[in-house]
Amino acid sequence: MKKRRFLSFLVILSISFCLTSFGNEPQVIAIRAGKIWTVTNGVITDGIILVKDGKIQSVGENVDVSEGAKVLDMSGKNVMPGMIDAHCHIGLSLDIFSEMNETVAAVAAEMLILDAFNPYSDDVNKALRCGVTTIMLAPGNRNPVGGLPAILKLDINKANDWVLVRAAGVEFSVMNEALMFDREPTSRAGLMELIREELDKAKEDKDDGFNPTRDILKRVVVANKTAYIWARNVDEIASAMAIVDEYELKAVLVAAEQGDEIADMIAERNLPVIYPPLLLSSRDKDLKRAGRIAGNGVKLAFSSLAPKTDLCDLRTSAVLAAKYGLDKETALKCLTINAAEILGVADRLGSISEGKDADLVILNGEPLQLTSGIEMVMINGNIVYQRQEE
Amino acid sequence: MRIYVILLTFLMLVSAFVAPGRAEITAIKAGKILTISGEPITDGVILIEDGKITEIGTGIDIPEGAAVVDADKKVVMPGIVDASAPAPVRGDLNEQSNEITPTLRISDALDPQSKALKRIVQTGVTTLFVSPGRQNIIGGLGVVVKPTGKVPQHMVIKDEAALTIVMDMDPTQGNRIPRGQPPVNFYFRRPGTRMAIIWMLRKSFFDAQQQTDSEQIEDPNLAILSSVLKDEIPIHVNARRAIAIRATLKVADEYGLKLIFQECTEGYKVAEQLAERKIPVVLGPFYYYPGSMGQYREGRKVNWNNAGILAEAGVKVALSSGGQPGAIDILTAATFAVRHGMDSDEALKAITIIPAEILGVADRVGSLEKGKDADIVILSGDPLNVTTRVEKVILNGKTVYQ
Repeated sequence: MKKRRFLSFLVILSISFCLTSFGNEPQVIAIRAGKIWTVTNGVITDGIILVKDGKIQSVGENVDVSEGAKVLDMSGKNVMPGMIDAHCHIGLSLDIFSEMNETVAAVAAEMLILDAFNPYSDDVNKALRCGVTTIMLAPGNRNPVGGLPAILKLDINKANDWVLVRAAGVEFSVMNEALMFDREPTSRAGLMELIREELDKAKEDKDDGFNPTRDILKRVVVANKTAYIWARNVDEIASAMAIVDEYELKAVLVAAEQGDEIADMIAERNLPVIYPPLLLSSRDKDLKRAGRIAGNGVKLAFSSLAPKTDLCDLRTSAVLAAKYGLDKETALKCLTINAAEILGVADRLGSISEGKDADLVILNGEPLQLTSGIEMVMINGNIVYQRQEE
Repeated sequence: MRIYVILLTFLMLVSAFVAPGRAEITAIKAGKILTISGEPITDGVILIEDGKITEIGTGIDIPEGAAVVDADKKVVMPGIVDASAPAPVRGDLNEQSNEITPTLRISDALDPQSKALKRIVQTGVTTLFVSPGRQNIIGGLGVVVKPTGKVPQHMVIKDEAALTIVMDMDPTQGNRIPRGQPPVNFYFRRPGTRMAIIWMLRKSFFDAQQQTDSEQIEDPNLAILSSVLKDEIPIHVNARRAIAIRATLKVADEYGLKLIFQECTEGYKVAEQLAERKIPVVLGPFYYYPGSMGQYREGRKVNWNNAGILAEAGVKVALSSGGQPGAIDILTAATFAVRHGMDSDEALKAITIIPAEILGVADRVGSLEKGKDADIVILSGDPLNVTTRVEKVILNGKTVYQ
């Protein structure tokens, strides 16, 4: 009895060794799909995507599938690039607002939001279920200078390089939310003065020993890194634009909901806009805004601002915006390539084309349909989510 | 009537098609024009082109294709200038983290979509002075704006128009002395008394004076204060009680400051001193919420004859709504000032050209003259009559309220 148990243990051990040695070989995956939404190169019907080493090797209608390739038959299904959430706060602890805002000091430039991220939280799985493969993890809007956002791929279990950018640009806020009753600043005028003061000091480029705040702000003022500026209302956006003009910043407007009122001025300055989530409960007036902003030639990307809202709202936002005036093609771009370009990772992400990362979302319907569900999600060619049949 | 409307529409259409490149001309036919700068004109015409007044007087030919505003039986006056208006600002007006905040620019906090702005226009105001709040000793830099424009930058006609200083007990409100507990936040601090307020004001100007001669002033606060000392920026002092006004005059004499007083509810007690120093006064508000307690009530008492007494003593008096929307608007304030002893011509000047002069924008607004901005208010009757209402407000040649 004992002997048999030992034997079976040996057999299992040898089999598992065999399996791992197979797994180390670079495997080619061929995905046969009904419709491929490449985003940058139109829609391919009945095409094949070849994935090798986690990268897309080729894509098209007539692609030779070599022998030994693992074929995933997804004919009748739609494939789109992995969606990019341009601004969210998932994976932080329960008390979200104290976790993402270092409110004790107004200027918290050197805070890394990545340090507060828990890769094993439920939020990550939820994001994958919604087809989001890359996120920008950002600090909150309650500090004039909020900290350093990070760009992450949500394939946290398999690959080591899930952190794409550890510190991308600097987060600013000119919103009313950045005002506190018991901390400087308490007024909008004071807020602007504070930001100007800090940027002035950074611009001066005086050697005053070790000063992390100064060094970080130099990245924005001198080294031309992106400044992500929270501004919702027209006056806040105007304040943000004043700062951008004054210091010639490379900036992105975050949550600029009312940007349509002065969309021409935003377009003039070439400022991309990260749009807050559109909800089914939003008013018609607000649902029309996104389309009008993009119509003026402003580069638009969607964000979920999760967990304030659900991560599913990323695709819902695009669907609703498309329903209320946003061009359908642009709506899809806003979820993928536009966001990648705004975040500066368009060389690796954002579309289904040769050489890019194999981050794919497979749906059972068209992407811009509320009824279509997500069947499978791949990151770097690894299946990270697959829908279970009931 | 219908034919007339159709004809007019046709005329406008034709003019729009015939001369697309030419700036549009608006003509206002008025029963009575109160120019403020000169004598009133009966049955006159005002021509507006490109947001400016090009022609004003009687017997002027209306050019073909001009849009005509018919105000035959109406009274036309220049847009009202409110030197202490409700602030179209979102969020706190005061930066409460410090008492001395000269670098604060209220223009950074302007909200062009503010509802207060719409209400201001409805009272006939076309130019207003927005100052920082009244809880800091040196509050910051005020701005002169027009209630139009999509972004704050378009509204502003004069930035850094004045430095706001508050000399009543208001800056002490909320400051506490830590008793039996550690001083955890910035509410535990000076000033707590009138002595401390005046001392802090004096000290900040002293610091600025020490550095005035140096080439480059490092501290931005002191840089602003030293340009105030050089008379580049005027000072608006918010003081109600005579004791506060006298104290400010003392500090002003020490440093040679140029002052403008606001609120000044007890101004009549120091009328001669103000006249002697040629200090203008902006009166208002003319209503205070009842029921406040203790120090908050300090000097908050409406003296209607204040305006008349000050004007008679030779002080330049401007009337304002005092930053309280809906309570008593600026035209009503002028009406009541006349009832309580002010000359009616003086009262009209006190809401137009005098505040414009005080704010330093008299070259653009404040009266109806050739070359000035086309800010025009059309009233149903005499402006100093309580039954009169504002019928139309034209701002930079465009109708903004009807």
